[in-house]
Amino acid sequence: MNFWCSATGEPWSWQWQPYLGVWAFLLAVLALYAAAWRRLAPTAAEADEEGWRRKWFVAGVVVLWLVLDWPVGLLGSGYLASVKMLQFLMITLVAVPMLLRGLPPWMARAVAPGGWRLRALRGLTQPIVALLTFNAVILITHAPIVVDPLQRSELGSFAIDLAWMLGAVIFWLPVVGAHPDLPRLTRPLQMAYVFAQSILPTIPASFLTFADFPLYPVYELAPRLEDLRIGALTDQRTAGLLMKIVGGFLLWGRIAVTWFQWAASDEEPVVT
Amino acid sequence: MRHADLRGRVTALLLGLAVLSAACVPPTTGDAAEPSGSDDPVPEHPEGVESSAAEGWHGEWLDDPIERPEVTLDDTDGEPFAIDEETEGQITLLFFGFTHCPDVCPAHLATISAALDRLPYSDTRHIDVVFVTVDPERDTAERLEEYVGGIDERITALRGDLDEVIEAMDAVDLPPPAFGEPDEDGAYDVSHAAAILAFSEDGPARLVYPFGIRSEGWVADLPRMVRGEEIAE
Repeated sequence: MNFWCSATGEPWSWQWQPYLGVWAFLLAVLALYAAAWRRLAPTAAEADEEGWRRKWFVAGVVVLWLVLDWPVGLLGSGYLASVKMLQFLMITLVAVPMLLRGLPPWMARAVAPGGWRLRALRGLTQPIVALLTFNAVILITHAPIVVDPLQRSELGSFAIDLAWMLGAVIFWLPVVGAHPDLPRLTRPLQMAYVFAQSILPTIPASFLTFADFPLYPVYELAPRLEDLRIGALTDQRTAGLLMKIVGGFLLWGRIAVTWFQWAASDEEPVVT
Repeated sequence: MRHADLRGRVTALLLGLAVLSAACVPPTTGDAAEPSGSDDPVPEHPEGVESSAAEGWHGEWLDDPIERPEVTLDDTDGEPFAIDEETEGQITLLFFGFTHCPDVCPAHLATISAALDRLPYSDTRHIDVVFVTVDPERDTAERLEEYVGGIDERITALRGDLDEVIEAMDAVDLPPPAFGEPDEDGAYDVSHAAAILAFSEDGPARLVYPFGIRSEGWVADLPRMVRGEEIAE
């Protein structure tokens, strides 16, 4: 019985395997969301008004499930750095903003109604702090000295995935957060903020792409996939390119959406 | 009050997850050096041979140097290949494995191949990599050629009768392979020593490389062997 996908050193097999921790985690998230919706909605009318958010939340959970469960989760944890990178991008740049968009204001407020939690969240979601925090999470969770031991254990692998989720929540709150006491950035600032994030990962992506040797023993010495004869260095370079190109594409997609929203809105243009 | 209720549920769910994770943690698996699926693992290192960390090298020092095996096997063209004669004067990495090996063999060979790619020809021309199959029944000459060709054409693949292969392994103090029971498809696991013996240009192997040596390690060590640097404990 498996809890979370991790590097086992076992030969890869297309034989399906259940990961109970992944299911339990996602079901818990859904159950909490449903309970919060039932118990926290101020009125039935307000709940109905925000009903569209449920689709976003469920879609976010589905994306998480697709990348955390077998086969993507296992391939990423123990066999291919490029798949792990895809997992990272989908969790941080797709699933988490979807989940945040799925939270109505009254539910977001319940998470941090006031006091130290709200103060902490307010501090963490200052744009500069949020950017630094998220990128610190990225750097730490991609450092070979961290990745190698953690990914060999199920709890360690879970910790990495959880760190990505929490880091992404902090990053995305200034852009898609619905907490009434944590005002979002204006749209021009959102674009600048997301643009900055499209630049910063160039550093770790370059390390992955231009390294002379595989950086992660866990992937270099992993059993090879028979159907996919990809060398460890090529795999790592693919991971670096994915981080830069696919990550950039997702972030620039968000910038484009924001720009069109801004253009269609009454928000004042920035005068320089 | 409702918030406190929800917090209680969150705590309960987190505790539940923690309990589940504890229940799901699998027992510690064996040494990754041992090919999986066999109940009868064989030692990774040469039998009865003492080895210890070699000073400044990624391989392990052999207290008693091992001579090249005086055994003749067949290459993938079916031509006889006398290991000691054909590799004489070359740095020789000798590895026994099999093409159906799902973990150790492809990773071992891939790291060596990646290292050879990084080294200049002036170094690699002094290095022979010899892969001997311990599963000659399934590893035909064609399959061997296809297998090593898919990894690195600089690798010399050899085969022979199982007795000859065991004789070659015995000559370098490696234990014979252990064969698992065939499944319904006739597939079976082979447990074999994962060590790579590194013979110096002038003869014996002073270093043995267990599974886990990365390409960076080979890139550091192989040029030093080519330069004839002294290997010491």
